[in-house]
Amino acid sequence: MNKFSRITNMTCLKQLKLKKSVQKIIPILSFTLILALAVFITDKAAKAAKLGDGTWAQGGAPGTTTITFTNTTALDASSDVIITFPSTASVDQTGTDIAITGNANPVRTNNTVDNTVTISLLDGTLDASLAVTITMTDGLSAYTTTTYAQESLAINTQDSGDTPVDFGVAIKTNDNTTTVTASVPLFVNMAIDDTTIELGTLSTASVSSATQQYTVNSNNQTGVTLQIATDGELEDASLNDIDAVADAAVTAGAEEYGIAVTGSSLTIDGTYITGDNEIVTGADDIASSAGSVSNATMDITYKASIAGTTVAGSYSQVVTVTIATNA
Amino acid sequence: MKNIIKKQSKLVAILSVFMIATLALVFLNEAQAQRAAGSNIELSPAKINVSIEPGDEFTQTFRIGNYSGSPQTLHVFMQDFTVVNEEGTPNFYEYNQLEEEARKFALSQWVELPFDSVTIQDNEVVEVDALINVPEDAEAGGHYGAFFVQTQAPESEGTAIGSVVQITSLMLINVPGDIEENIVITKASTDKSVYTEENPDITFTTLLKNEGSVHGIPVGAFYVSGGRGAKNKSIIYNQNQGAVLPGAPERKIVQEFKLSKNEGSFIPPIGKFTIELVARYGTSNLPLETTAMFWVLPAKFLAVSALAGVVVIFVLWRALKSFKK
Repeated sequence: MNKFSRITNMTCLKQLKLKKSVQKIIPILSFTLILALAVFITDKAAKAAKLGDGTWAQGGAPGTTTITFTNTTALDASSDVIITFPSTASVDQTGTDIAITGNANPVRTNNTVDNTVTISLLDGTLDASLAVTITMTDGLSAYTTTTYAQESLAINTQDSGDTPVDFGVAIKTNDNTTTVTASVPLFVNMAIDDTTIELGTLSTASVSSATQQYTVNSNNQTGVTLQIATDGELEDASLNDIDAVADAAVTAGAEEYGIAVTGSSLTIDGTYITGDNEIVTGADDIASSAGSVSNATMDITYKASIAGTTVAGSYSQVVTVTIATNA
Repeated sequence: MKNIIKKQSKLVAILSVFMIATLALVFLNEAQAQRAAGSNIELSPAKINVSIEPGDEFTQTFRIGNYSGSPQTLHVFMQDFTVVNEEGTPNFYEYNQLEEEARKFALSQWVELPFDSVTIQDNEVVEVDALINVPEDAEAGGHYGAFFVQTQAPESEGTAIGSVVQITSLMLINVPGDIEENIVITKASTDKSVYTEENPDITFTTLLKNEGSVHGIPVGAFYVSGGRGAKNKSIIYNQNQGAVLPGAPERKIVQEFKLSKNEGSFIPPIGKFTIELVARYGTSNLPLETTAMFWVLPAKFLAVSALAGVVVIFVLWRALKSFKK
């Protein structure tokens, strides 16, 4: 074996050893890494204790905000109290006024994205079991008075290391909802572009159709539901009727009648979402929304066709669409 | 002189014919417009929630606005309702249609309306005072009715479909007394147990069952804490004021939220998070509390971190090996 071959063999041996070592160490390192990640991503925060229920009063729209609660865990001088408001109240980005029991110079930070006000207790403390009152004359830039029986905001306290300490709610109660003078009343509105849908003279050669549009508005946050019902079949004075569509498509030359439904900002019920469908006599959900709606629309296209055996006459039907807020 | 009188008479006759023709045209156009036009009706409040003592009466004023472009004759009446699904969708019934068990929740039989129908001019708002008379011996608990406003069926010729619109306002009435307030959380969970996207949209859903005799509208907040890279935050619960009715299916309260990334943190929200729900309902703020948890494991971030970690460890190991030599 010459010198060159020896060197080559030694290099190969080294590489083999290196490869083996790498193969050994990679699983160990990976396991360590996964373990480290697992420790890292495990729940880091101590759970917050519960605050007793507080109260929230709003002097107007927006007016002065007054929040009271009883503190549970003592807070030192570098702690924070965080107030989270509901969507009916908008935190005033430029507001500075703040008073909190037992603190001469608290500092207030406004966050309009999270709709929170953070009160830093710079030179004061909050003792355990202390009855705390917070007032802000410019806490909110807007507050929508509502007909709600109750509303709530959230109170969080955290120590200087931002570790959660206590968590609770403050509730605003209206004695009787109708006594509240609401600046924006809860309303529901429905418009239709035409109350009479004329299908003209039906023929065996084509499908007669006409579209009607419903426009819906409501500020009810739980949404609205639209139902459809009829007074009977599409029939003439002698009670001859045009058969309801049964094969999902009104077709020329066949005696069929049905509706096709489309919508914007409304969810069309599964029964009506595809093809042409029969309108049932009893009230049936046709469209809905999960929240408030602004100029949401539902288009109903009425379609009818006749066969050679369809009895001559004037056929009519009354369709009722009902809109209601969800409970 | 005679000629002047004749001319004046002619002129008067012509003017009269012209005026009659003009008026006829105006009325005809109006009539046509009324026939061709649709309707646009607004009702407020769309939902009320009132407590009335037995033996007391209460007047609820409804405002009906007509924005149809023409006068509308509207019918007003009452029905009862029950909730039929998790979304709180009402189904309406006449009192006589209700089964005996359901009648204990009915309201319509106590409500008097001042008229059956009213004609409202365009752009006019009419107030309707609904008088709710709660009898002395009324059963305590929740009573549920709906105030209806209905348009008239149009007259049509030929083959046509006439449209009627009904707009309703839900009336949730509590009669105090020997009531049972009992809402329980049957389920509280997020839409996924583990989210692998970076800072995902999280949907927190609670299912509430009312096992009492009166409705409740829970209010409160939930606190999301834990994990890494995210600020602890509170989110207001049931801001939509979803009502949980007795004798109805479970009510679903859904709240969507995103975790807020810590300012200056290079890692996205990651780890195990806990949701603590603190809500209250009923006349004495009864508690409704639960906890739920979810994991956020952003796959891309974890993959890149793991790869970077392996590379760093390998390089360190190589460096150590070279140093030993």
